[in-house]
Amino acid sequence: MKYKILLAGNPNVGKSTVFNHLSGENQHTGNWIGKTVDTAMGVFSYRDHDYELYDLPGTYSLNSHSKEEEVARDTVFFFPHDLVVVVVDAISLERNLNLVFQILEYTKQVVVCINLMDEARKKGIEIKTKELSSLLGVRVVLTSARRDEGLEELKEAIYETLEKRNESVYQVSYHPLLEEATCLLEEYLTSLDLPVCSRWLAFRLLIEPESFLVLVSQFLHYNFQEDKHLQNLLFLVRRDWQEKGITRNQLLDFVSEDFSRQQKEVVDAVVEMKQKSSNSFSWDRILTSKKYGIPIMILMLMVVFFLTISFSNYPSELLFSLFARLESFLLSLFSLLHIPSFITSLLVLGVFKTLSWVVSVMLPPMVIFFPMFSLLEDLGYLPRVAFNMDGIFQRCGACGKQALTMMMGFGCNAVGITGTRIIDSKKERLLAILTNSFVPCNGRFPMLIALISMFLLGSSAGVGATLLQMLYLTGFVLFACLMTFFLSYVLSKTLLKGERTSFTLELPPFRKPEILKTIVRSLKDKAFQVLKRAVLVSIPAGILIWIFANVEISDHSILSYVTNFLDPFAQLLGLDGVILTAFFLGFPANEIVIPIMIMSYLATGTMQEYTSFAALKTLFIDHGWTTLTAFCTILFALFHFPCSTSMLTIYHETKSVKWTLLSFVLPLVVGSLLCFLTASIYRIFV
Amino acid sequence: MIELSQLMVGDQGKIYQIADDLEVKRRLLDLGFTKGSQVECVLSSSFGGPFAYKIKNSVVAIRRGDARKILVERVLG
Repeated sequence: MKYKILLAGNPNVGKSTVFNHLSGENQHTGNWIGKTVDTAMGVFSYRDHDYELYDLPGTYSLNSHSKEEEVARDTVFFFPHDLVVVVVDAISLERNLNLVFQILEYTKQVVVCINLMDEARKKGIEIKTKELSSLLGVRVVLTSARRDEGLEELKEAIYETLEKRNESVYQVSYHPLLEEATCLLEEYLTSLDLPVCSRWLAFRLLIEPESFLVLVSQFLHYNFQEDKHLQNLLFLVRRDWQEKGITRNQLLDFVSEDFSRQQKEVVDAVVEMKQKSSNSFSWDRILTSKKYGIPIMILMLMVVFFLTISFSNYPSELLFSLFARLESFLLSLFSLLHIPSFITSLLVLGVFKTLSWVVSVMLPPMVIFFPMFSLLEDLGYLPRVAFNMDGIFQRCGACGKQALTMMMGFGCNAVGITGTRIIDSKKERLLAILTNSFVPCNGRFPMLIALISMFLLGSSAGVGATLLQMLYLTGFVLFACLMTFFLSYVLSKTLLKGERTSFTLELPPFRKPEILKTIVRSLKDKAFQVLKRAVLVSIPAGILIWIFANVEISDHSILSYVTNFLDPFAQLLGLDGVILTAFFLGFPANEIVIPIMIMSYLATGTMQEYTSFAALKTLFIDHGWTTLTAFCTILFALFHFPCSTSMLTIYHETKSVKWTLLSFVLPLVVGSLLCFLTASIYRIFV
Repeated sequence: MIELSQLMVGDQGKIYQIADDLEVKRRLLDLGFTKGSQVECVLSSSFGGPFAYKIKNSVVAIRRGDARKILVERVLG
């Protein structure tokens, strides 16, 4: 039998590091706990036992505020498990005890892992483990997970706790009024013989809103709403409080005061400050300064883009030539096996070609961008970005954390959309989801760069040209960001007005990231994701594109009918029928938009690579392209509609057809309008 | 007694009370803004953005609007 162990903890306490060090390479991400949020699960063995370790989203308490916290709460309460490891920050133990206390109310089977001991010792903080352990009634282990210290002890503590169950654990005592009511309910609930702690259930029934009652009823297969006796007890208690003039608000105040007083008592008993912490120099004075904060952020983003773009070229070419060889091998294999030529063409030139294209273009930038992003995250820089940007976002009715989801969106919009879970308020989260595709993802960068180089740079070359190219690119990206602000503002004043917003953000100390480990993990993660996605989109896209290009009706391919049909409308937008069709056919992945254009212009029936920008430019100009066409194509590339993966992710996250459709229509309308205006103005004046 | 938002960077205070705004309040309490806690304003951001406060050994940023809902007693640091 495998023991199921939950790993809970506040954000920024190094919980993932503990998770990674415990489970090593044996981990997978998936929908384990039956919620919409994917969690990581790792496996490890210790002393002849196997353990499954589930990494919960970071949370400050089990009173949920955000989607991620709700998942953490529901997992602790409603997902069957054998033990909870609570990872806490040695430096701010007092605040972290809040979560420990809340979990101890639910289960006795807890191990407390006090992490970041290395940092704490530097600050002169010592923790008396034995005292804390006997106070709480559970095993307490000190760790510095980054240095691999204390993790064997943690495994031993888990093992021992599972062997000899904890007898009695620390329980927060409540205000007399609440204590009395809890006891009253507890007595009755115990008689029902439910498989949960009666005191916990009694307390939650008293303080939680109605929605929680429904959840608990489902979980325990017991309908609390129809239990007349229980409802009567609840009614009596509430009437009693009402008579004494006590509101729900005051009740919560009592609870929080009880918790915070007892947190302080415990900390006073077990934490020793050997020296007063000195005020050392803080990087925050520069990184979050009003003057330099935002410029530094933009510079840092530019560096990340530059590295991503310049380092992806070579591996991309390598993959292309590798796939080309594989393709010719497949072709000869198929002909050797006497497979009908149209099947060969469909499978190899349609499906395989699309697959290899998407992988070659998508994989390298993804595996370069996301590790860098993870490094910035581990360093602790990202919360500073949110801090710097919240002022601006707030004025647009949005949340500073949206800056982070936009940054993820530069890598991949689907990742950015999933990332919006860090935003607490529902309204701000929806804003971030709906506008995420306004920032160009890695799939669109190569297209933007190609168009900028061919049509906007002129004939300059060398370092100057590269610099100019980066400037153009930055300009377009900044424009995309401005549009995000503008749209967020408009949406928050129209469709999404009224809902309240809140914003809290911890700024953890800067920490040296585990560079190699982060890179390797991020690489593995992304490579797998990208490959999976490439396969998923390439098969249908490859078949569709092949049919469009190869099935002929009275001597013309379906593709040419479609492009001709769309042409008049596209001309209004400063584009042409081929460009517009390519964007539609590129719905599964923006990477294949330009290859489809080339295929259509050349009428080859299969996607083509271009040998050089010069050759491509000639081809485009031969088919009527001007600088205006290129400019409008860039605008349309920035604002059209999210790719199919992003759309699916949006539906997954919002569970609403309405918002998913809006996220499709919104950028399309904006892009079309911008293109139309640009083209019209250009045609009037030039 | 002043609002937390009135503390300048470097100023310290002691939390007296949080206004009755249930959602915000629960969140602030979870982050350690509990009655009687010591708090120090450590950073302020541009464009009227959030302030960051040192509380219970960690640094937490909250918006000015929310900081107005917390009453503190100024403490000389």
